[in-house]
Amino acid sequence: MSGFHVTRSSTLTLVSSIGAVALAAVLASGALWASNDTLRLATDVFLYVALACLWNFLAGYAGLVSVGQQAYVGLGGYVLFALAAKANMPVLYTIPLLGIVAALLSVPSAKLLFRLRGAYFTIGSWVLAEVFRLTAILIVPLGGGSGMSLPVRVAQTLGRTPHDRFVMTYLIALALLLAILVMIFLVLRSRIGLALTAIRDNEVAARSNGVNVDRIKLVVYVAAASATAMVGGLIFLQRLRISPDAGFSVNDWTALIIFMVVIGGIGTFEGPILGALIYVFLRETLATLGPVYLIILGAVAIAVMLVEPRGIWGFVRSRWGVQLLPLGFFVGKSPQR
Amino acid sequence: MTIALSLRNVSKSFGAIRIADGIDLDISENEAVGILGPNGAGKTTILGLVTGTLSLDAGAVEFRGRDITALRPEQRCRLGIARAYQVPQPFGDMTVFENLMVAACFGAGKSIAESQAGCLEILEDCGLADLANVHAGRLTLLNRKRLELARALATKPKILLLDEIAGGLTQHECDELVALIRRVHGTGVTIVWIEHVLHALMSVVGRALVLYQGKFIADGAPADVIREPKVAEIYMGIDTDA
Repeated sequence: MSGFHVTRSSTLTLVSSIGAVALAAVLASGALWASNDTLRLATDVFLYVALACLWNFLAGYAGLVSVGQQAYVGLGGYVLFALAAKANMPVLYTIPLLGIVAALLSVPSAKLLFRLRGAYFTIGSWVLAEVFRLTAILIVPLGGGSGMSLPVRVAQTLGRTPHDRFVMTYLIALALLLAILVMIFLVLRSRIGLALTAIRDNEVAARSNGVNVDRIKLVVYVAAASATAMVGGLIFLQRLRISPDAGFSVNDWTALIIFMVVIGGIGTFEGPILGALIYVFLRETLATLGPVYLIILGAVAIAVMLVEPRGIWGFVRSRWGVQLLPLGFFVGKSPQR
Repeated sequence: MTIALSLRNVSKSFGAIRIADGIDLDISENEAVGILGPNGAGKTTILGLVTGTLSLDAGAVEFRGRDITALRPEQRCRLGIARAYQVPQPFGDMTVFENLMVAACFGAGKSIAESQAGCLEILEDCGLADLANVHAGRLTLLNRKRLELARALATKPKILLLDEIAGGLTQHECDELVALIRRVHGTGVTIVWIEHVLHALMSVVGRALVLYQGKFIADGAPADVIREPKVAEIYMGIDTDA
């Protein structure tokens, strides 16, 4: 009989799991009491956190450093506008469809991009996103190069007053974020999570230990694309207007997201959430400074990379061995019998 | 006796350097074979050809009678070919236990629940149980080597390829390692071991091969092989003409 046993949860993971559920409940109740400005800011935060977590899932775990995720943000926005404004589909029903459309499109994209390795994949993903943007410019019914607005009648299906609409988008964004976080959590806790963490640390060794790296990367790429498109749909549902440049913006949907993930801690579950919160905090406090604000963001990113390339959460985790969620394994000595 | 591993007319070059020049080799089930040869002879490359991390220029690799030349490294691992690298390749930000879990879940194709007990056992066998929760990147070189072996064992291999795992060990540690490999061999696993620490190798293997300039120039009982003049000349650096 072995003198050791394995546990996956600890007092800390139990406390933080209960805390996470409580926080989700508090956030949901926000629909009842928060002001329009708060709701709009919180919706922004939810969508940024979702994008950051998805990019981290892709780059931090599967090693797919894509700078082309704006392809799926814009795709989600455009498909939502097309379905809701042109096909008169109820807005709520379009959101799962965005995920399906993006998943279907991401498979041939992956077949193409996965021929490229490392930096070449990264550049290729950007080129692909540009192809998406140029395609959007060519679609005249959706406004071509100048884009289109969501008709008022479509927006009103979400709620008659602006407040009702804010509440509705807030709740949908929260639900989507929670679904994405739960999905990533469950994947990371499963066998696939072990494989992803192994790929993150050493891809060659992962292959040598029986991990089918290519298949797992494909699964992650498709899942991330699908969820990113749903987030993209919501972003432009909130903005009520889309154009090729806004939808497929490499700055807004990739560069900023990478900033969040890198300062928060790439390759950790908690890091991107932290990074997105830090970003929104900086934006809200410094936005009045104009261009200086962007210089400060850049300086923060450089400072974090120089001092602690693993980001804030990466530092916390390795320094104190903190694991908030029951994702790891802990081997303890069994009590003497 | 059935054949575990065969190389059929295998050739491999890096530029002008011929590592394998039409090699033919059969290794039987549950044999323990040592591969010797001067530095740079290509011993490690031969292991890479077997595990599939390197591709052949010509020829075929067969595992238990099946041609595996076209299979990828992960597929070969799942068939039962495991390798402990000369330069350890740990998953640095995962704990020692998690390193083994990857191998058990994917190499041996088990679920998380099925894998845990076996991984604990292997950790204890390899003297790593007290380090189970340590991140692999923080291990000393010796413990990384142990982990390399432990992780290979966790894939439940039928053939175990060992690459200079005894280098740098003290006499006592080396004896422990030899005892462990003997135990593994005793459970029916075929062993192919590249090693410069000759006394460790000789106490385990029943057959020795010497690789030199792309060919196996000697093949036989270890004691006979190292006494062959040709081997002594090129491998030990002894000038037999003098």
